[in-house]
Amino acid sequence: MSKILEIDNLSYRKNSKTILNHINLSLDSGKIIGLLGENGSGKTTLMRLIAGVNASSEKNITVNGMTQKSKIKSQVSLSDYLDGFAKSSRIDDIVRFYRNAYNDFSDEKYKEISEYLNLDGTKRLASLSTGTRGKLVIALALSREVKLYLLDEPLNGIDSMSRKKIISSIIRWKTEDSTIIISDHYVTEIASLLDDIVIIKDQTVYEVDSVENIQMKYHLGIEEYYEKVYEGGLAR
Amino acid sequence: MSDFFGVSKNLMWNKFKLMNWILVIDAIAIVVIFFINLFKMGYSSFEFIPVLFVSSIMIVNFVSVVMLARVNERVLTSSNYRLIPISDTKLYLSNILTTFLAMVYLWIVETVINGLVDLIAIIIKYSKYKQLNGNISSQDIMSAIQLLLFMALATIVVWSGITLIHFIVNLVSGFLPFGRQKFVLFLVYLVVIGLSLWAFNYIMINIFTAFYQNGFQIDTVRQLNSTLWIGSGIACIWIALFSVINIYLMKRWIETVR
Repeated sequence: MSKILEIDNLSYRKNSKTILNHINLSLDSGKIIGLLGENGSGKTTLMRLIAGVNASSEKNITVNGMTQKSKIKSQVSLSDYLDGFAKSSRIDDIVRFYRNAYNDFSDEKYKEISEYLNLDGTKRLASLSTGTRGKLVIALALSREVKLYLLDEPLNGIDSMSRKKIISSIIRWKTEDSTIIISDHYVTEIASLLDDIVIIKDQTVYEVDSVENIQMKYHLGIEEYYEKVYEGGLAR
Repeated sequence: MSDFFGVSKNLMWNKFKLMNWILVIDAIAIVVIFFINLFKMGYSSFEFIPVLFVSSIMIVNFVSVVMLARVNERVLTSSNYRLIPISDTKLYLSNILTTFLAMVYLWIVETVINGLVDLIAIIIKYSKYKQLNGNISSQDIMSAIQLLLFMALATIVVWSGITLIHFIVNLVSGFLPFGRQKFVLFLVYLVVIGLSLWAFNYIMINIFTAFYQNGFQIDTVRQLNSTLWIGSGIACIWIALFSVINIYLMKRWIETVR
């Protein structure tokens, strides 16, 4: 199995505070991977570093064999919370933006996903509920045809019905050769999706393993295992 | 990889929309002021149309430069643009180019409206205005074109300079322990703006002293033209210098904030 993501000794400091320290990571392609960690553990920062919107040198991160930032960006689709768009923008305006900006944006895929998630193109960003905005973010991210999808807390603040829809759309529109990394601090909802997990703790990677191995080694579900890691009740 | 044209199309759309909004608001303001004058002064208020229009041009240009500078900044620090698979150099150049084109669009619309206003003024036989328009020589037109070129370049210098100041503040505040606190940020802005203006001023004084060792004087059109050429050349050098530094900072240090 080929490697989709390799991170070599990546550290990140901001405002004199270490957020990530000596991150080393190597992930296989084709999987759904959970990036787990408590609030403020650096999950979002790590995703932003991979996607190239946080500052780092070009030598630490390799995506699908590429190290140059602009080339990495063509391999990665990060769920962007659309804060850069004017609140008066209509969904259709944002879709047009994606169509113009990304050569890999699939209109056909967006049409299918948006229909499934009941997104109305005439609605303005300001009028969208948190759930609908979350659905739009996912629809836009998944409509790009890339090798690596980075979904940053896609279920945060979203009601249970919308969560189910989002989760099923992730499963439904994932292609075989693509990899999805989902970050979250609520493990329950995404546990059933995951092939592998990466746990971030104390600014570094605490564990990278497959869900199957963890269940075999510790006889625990992912959620229990994750809680025990954070409670310190688990010997490595 | 995305192409320069696709990204520029998005940038153009936003900036042209902004320019159209400014023009619409300006047009409404002109019409309202005109009708107030008509109500107060009757037929003689027609004579003030050119004056009203010239005043509005100055305000609209100032507002447009400021608003476009704001949009320019937001693009370079927005995830929606920085996530696009295009090099930072291309994004920066596309951004500044489309900002400039939006300004040119505004100037073209203003010129067309100016033509219409001239026509109205001539039709109503506003004699002084007609006389003023009748005495323009080809040399004056050349000077006007040179002045326009200088103004365009100076505007780009202002936009690039504002970007540089923001980038430096962004960079410095990232290293400070409390760099995100508003008061600290305010102090950083104050220091960076002060130092930048001092450095810019110091360099410009030295350049002009080198060019005009016998004193700075503009008495003839020729002198004016040569000053404009020198000014345009210096502006080009500033643009190149600011752009190189801005692109380097973007590549290595500047993160998105929204």
